Amino acid sequence: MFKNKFALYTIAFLTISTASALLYPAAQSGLTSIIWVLMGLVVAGTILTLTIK
Amino acid sequence: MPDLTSMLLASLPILVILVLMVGLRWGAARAGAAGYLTALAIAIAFFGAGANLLAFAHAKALVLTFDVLYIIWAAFLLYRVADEAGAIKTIGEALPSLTRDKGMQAILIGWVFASFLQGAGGFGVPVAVTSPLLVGLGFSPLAAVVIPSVGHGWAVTFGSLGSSFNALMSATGLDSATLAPGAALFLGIAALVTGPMVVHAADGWGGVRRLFVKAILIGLVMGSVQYLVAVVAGLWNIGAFMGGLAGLIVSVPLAQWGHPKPTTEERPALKPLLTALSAYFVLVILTVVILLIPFIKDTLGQIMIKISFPETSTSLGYITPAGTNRPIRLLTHAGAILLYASGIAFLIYKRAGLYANGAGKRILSSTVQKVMSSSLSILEMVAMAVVMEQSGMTEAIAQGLANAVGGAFPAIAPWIGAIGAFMTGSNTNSNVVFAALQMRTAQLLALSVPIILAAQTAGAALASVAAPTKIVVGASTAGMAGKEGDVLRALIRYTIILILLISLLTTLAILVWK
Repeated sequence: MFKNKFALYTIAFLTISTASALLYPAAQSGLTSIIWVLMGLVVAGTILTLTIK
Repeated sequence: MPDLTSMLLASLPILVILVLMVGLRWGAARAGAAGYLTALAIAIAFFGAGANLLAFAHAKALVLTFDVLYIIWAAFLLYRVADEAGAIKTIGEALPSLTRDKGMQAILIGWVFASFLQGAGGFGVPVAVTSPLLVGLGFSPLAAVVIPSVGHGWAVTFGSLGSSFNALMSATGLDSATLAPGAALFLGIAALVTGPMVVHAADGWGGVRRLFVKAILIGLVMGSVQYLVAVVAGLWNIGAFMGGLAGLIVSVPLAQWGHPKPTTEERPALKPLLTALSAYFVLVILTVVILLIPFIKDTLGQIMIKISFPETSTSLGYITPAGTNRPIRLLTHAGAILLYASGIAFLIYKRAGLYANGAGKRILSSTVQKVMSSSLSILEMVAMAVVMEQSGMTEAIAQGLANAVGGAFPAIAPWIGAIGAFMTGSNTNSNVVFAALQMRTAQLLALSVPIILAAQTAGAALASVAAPTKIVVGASTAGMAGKEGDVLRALIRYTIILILLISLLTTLAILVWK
C-alpha cells in the first residue's frame, strides 16, 4: 500500500511515540486495559518497522 | 532464577542487535525493533514486568528520545543550511591547502575539532557536525563516521560540560577531588592512543608512522590540559572543553610543521572560506556564550521539561526508585544551540547571496526526509534500554558479570561501564545505572573505589561512541543511513582496543594502590 519508505517510517514513528506519550496518563490513572491496548500499538509500530527493508 | 540464566536472558536483546547489525548488516531501525521486541518479551515473561512498569518505562523512553532527537534534527538542519549554501564544498576545497595530508586532516577535524565540540556541547554533535565535513574532504562516508567517533571518546566524561562526571558523583555521593584524578588519568592516556587510531582509520599504518610524533604531541597537550583543569584547578565541568581548545591551538601550526608553506596561489581566498565557516564559528561562539556565562545559562535554562516518574517494581521485587528525568532545558539544550546557529548561519549565507530561490524549503524538506529513519531507530533502542533498566535486566547482566569474575573484577569493571553505554548510547546513563553497583562490588572485594569508578566512566565514555544510537547519528549525517552495521563493524575494533587498555590500566592501578 505504501511504496514510500519515508511514509512508513513516519507512520511507525508517530504510532510508537503517540502511544508512548498516552501511556503516562493511562498509568497514572491505573487504566490497565488501556495500557495493554497502547502497548499493542507500540508493538504494532515496531512490527511495521521490521517490515521496512 | 539462577544468576547465569538471568544474565543470559537479559543479554539476549543486546546479542540480537549485535548479530543483526554486525552479522547480517541490518540497518539500525530494523535491528533496534528486533532488540526492543526481544527485551519486551523477556521483561514480561521472565523478569515480571507488569503494565504499570511498562507504561512508565515507555513514557520515560519517549522523553529520553526527545532529548537525543532534539540534537540530531538540529545538527542535520545546520549541516543542510551550510551545504545548501555550498559551504561544505568551499571548506572541503580550502582545507587541503592548510594540510594536504589526509591523516593530518583527520587529526584536525575528526579528532581535535570533534573533541572540542564534545567538550563544549557533546550529545552526538561532534560526529554529526564533523562527518559531513570529512565527506566533503573526500573521505569515504564510512571513514567519515568512524574517525570522529573514535576521536572524541576520550572527551566524553568531562565533555558536555561535565554532565557524565556529574552523574558519577551523584550516583555515588563522592566528590570530584576523589573521583576526578583516576578518571582524568585514564582518559588522558586514552587520548594519547586515540590520535594514532584516528590516523590509522584515515590513512592506514603508513599514516601512523608519518604522523606518530605529531599525534602523540597533540594527545599529550589535550590529555594534560584536561587533567590540569579537571583535577588541579577543580573545574571538572570544563575539563574536556579546555583540552579540546588547547588541541585546536597547537594542532594548526603542527599541521604545517615540516611542510613548505603554501604559495600565494595555493592559499584559498580568505573571504569565501570565512563565510563558509561562519556556521561553525557561530556554533562555537553560541556554545561558549550560552553555556559558560552563568547569567545567560541560568536565565535561558529556566524553561525545561522535567517529568516525575513514580517508583515501579517487578513481580520479582526489583525496584526502580521514584525520580525525574534529566531536565531538558529547551533553550540551552545542545539542540537549541544548533537551532540558533542554523538560523543565524542561514541569514549570513542569505545575505552573502549564496542561496538560490526556494533554498529554505529545500533545507527543511530534506532535513525531515533524512532524519526519519534515524529517529525511529533511536526511539526503538532507547525504549529497549529503559525497559531493560526498569525490569532489572541491566542489573542482572552487571551482577552476573561481577559474580562470575570475582578477583578479576578490575579488568571487568570498564566492560560493565561499556555495556551500559553501548545499550543507552550515553556515558551519563551508564554511570547512573552502574556506578553504585561498581562501588559496592569494589567495597565487597576490598578494592580502591575511585579506581574502579574511573574504570566505569572511562569504559562507558569510550564505548558510548560505538553505541547504535550514536552510530545512527553519524551515519545519517554522512549518507550512511541503513548501513549502520558497516559502521559498527569498523568502529568496534578501535573501541575494544581502548577498553582493553582501560582494563590493563585499572588492573595495574589496583595492584599498585590496593
